[in-house]
Amino acid sequence: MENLKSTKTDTTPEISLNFQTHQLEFSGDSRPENAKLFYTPVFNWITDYFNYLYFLKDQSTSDAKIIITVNFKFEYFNSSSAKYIIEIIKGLNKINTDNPKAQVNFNWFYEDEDLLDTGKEFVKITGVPLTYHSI
Amino acid sequence: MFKEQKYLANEVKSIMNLEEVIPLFIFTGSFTFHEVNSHLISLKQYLESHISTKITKRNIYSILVECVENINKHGFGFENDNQIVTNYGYVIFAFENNKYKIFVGNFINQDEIEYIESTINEINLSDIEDLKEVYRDKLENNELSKKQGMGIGIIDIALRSKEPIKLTTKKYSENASFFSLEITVTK
Repeated sequence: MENLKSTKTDTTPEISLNFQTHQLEFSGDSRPENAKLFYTPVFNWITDYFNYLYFLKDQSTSDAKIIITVNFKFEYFNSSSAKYIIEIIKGLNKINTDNPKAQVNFNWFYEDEDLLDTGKEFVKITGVPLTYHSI
Repeated sequence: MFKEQKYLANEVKSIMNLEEVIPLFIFTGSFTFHEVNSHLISLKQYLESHISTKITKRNIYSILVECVENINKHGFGFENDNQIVTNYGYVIFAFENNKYKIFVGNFINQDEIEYIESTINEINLSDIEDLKEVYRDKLENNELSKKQGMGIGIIDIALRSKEPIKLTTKKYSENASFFSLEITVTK
């Protein structure tokens, strides 16, 4: 398994998905030319990570849970990207429902009320709680 | 090709001639992703330096992104002698009677007119809570531009504008119509 890193551009966010530290972060703007194409490697990574965590679970003798931190630090995303962000939340939350030895905590950073409201809408849609942080 | 550009120029001119309209930012011509992107970068910088209210800035930028992407993705393409297909359109960001206005126009496939008109009428008759529900429903059910491009983007525009969207359509040719929207953003 490898970490996934994507550098920020004018139209795509910076993405850092680290399977060793369990720190997953998205930041910047998201309005890619083709959102499906852009986010496909993220979904592939999540699938691999899900399997990797199962492997870790089997190897581990400790009862301590693996804590995974997901930070959404978007400044802007278009309506096409919103769909994929929701799918990312749902995909990562499967770890919470299916893997008793791992826990995913979702953080939603917002710089204005609009982004905070969007986060709240995403909670209604996904049923996954987000912890809000003003920046 | 020049015929379409001339048509666009006349459309833009008719908006510029409106007495109360003060144009702040105009893009007109072909809407490829790279052109659209460079316009949006300039526009973002413009908004940063000219509009102080964060929420207004975000609403204007979000509406403009959805508008220009709509032209880029769903506009009617005209093929030139070199088989290059171009989507033509305009986006005008303006100030009118103490409100911001976004005028957007592009060619679309004639077959889509009826659906677009009924969608926008439906949006204009819906209240904010109804629109939020439709927005959630579309995101929840993974529904992106299910039919002819009029999907979640136009609902996002309506939610941000909070005022009726004015739609005008004109038949342009056998296969294409010209579609224009007037969107208001309160300061």
